[in-house]
Amino acid sequence: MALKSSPKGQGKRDTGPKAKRKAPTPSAKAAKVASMGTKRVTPKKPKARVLRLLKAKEPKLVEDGKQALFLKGTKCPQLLQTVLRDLTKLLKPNAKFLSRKNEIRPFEDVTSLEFLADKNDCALFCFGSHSKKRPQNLIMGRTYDKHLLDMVEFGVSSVEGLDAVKATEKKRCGSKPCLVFAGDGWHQDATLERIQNLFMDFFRVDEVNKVALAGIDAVTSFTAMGTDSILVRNYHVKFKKSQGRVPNVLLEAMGPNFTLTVRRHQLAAPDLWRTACKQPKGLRPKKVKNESTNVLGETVGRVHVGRQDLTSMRVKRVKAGNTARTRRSDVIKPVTTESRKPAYLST
Amino acid sequence: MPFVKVLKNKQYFKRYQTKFRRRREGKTDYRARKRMVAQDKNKYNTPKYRLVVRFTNRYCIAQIVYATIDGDKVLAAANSKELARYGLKVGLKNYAAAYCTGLLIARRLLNKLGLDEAYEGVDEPDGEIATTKDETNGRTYYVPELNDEKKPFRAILDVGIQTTTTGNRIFGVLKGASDGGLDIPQSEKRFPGYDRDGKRYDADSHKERIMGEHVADYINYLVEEDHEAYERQFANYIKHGVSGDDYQDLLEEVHTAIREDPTAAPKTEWEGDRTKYKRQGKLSYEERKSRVAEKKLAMAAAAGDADEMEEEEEEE
Repeated sequence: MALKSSPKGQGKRDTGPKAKRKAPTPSAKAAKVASMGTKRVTPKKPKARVLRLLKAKEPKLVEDGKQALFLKGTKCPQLLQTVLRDLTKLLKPNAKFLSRKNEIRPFEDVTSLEFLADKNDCALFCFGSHSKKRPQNLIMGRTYDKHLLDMVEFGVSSVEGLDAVKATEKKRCGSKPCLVFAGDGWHQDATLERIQNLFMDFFRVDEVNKVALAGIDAVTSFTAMGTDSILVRNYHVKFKKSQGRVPNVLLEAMGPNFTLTVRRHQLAAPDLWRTACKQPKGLRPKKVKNESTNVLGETVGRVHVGRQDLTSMRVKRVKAGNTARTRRSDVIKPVTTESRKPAYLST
Repeated sequence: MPFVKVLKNKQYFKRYQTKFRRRREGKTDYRARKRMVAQDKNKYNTPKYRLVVRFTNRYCIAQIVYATIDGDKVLAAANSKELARYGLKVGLKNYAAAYCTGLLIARRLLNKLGLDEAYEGVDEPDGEIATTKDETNGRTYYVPELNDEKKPFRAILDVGIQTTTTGNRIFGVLKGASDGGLDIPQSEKRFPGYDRDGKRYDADSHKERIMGEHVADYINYLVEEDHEAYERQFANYIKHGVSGDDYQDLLEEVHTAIREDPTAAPKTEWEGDRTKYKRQGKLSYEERKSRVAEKKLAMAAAAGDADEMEEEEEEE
């Protein structure tokens, strides 16, 4: 599993400088109107329920998991609807399915999609539509700060729904799947790399730093065939009894399985991407001095030791060393030795 | 007539959304269910299990259930009907039977998972809540002692749409399962013996319920005071030879029998219900024809009789 930085926040944003900016001073005209005795209307205080809702939507240091919104276009064939419904089931309770038809063409005008995503508090969206030019069309994307971040359009083919695939058991509700990305394309193609990031955002559910192995009961595998075709397969993980402590792990096809063909895409502009990926100050890891990681991923520490005072060191004194000591002391302070005696003293 | 604004207009019905089917039927509390099923944010993907407790008119049912995207799956189940195997044949819905059912499902599940020796639970019910704190992770487990190698099996009590009143039999199942070695988060607030005003919990009175003393007392009371009522109300007890005095001993025996062999009885092939009325086979075409002919003849004969009667009357 590759771990990469992905956009933070759920269509929300820390209160930046914009929010702190003061409200514009009322113009002279407005002031005049007020003084003429017109009734000032104070805005109605919102109900407690609304306030609670608004508070829950406020930006947080650590955001909740992203919710996904599934919608249908004006035309949405049965095949595509099964894909949408099955994906909703996989992601439940972090997904919402809107059953009404929507006259939206995201690549032409994204505003109504942004509105719906914000209204439903969903940062991720998946839109299914069908037209002569683009049959079986699936658009997956995400928003940041209530606006579109990126979206990719896929053609869907060879669909096997959740019900069509018989399995002894299916995934548990709300469990986190293991995501597998196979194929060279994920590392070589820039677009695919971004699509991988989008998929990880979509399918990972909540972000956690640890995971209980016994709880992993599903695998979602994405195989890149070349640069434009992606095979999506879902498996249920079975733990069979084995001789030792570690069980035998078995994968069983669970569905939905389908193939995606990359069509149009609208990726995030570099600076928007950078802001979206930015970590809030409180979350940034504190820099630890004299510690670094080498190529192998090992932590390397550097220890600083002050200069040792050799003169105060207590060592075993030997006779051979004495001469050296006397010689040094000669340099430091003159000692009256025989040799240095004035000539007149010598006899 | 004053002007009445039509509230349920076209727009209302256009936007109207029906509730879930089981909500409409009043069978599921979705608010509670969502919280019981959804993964905890701080629990690292640990599987979640529920101890589902339901009462029918005659029995008590307990199941260990987990939710999949395909629907809920049952890991283990116990019904108080099965208690007959362990010696309890009457009173299968009372507090003591609820406790036995809880004990049965806990022992059965732990036996299935190979945890039964690691978690024995509480042998002699005392009504107290046993908790152990794990110093390594700071968590509290509702078991008397922790095994070094294996963590206890945790389940959450699911009461459905039942009102959780103090002393409800549902908590008898909870207590039984807890004493059977399952780790079920609980507090004494809803156990029998809890005094809401004094905020005190009397474990002994809970123990008395578990051992069916309230039933035994009532039997003895009726025997003395109103023998007719005793024979009417406790007819089944009398039939199975259960008296007020040996009721407690019977329950103790049931508890030990459950601990000895909690596994489910082997399945037997269903051979059809032969006791009831059996439908006759279909008649063949010829048979139906002859039957009609017979009926016609009979009718004609009857008509002939009537004609004769009329003629006689006219003559008179």
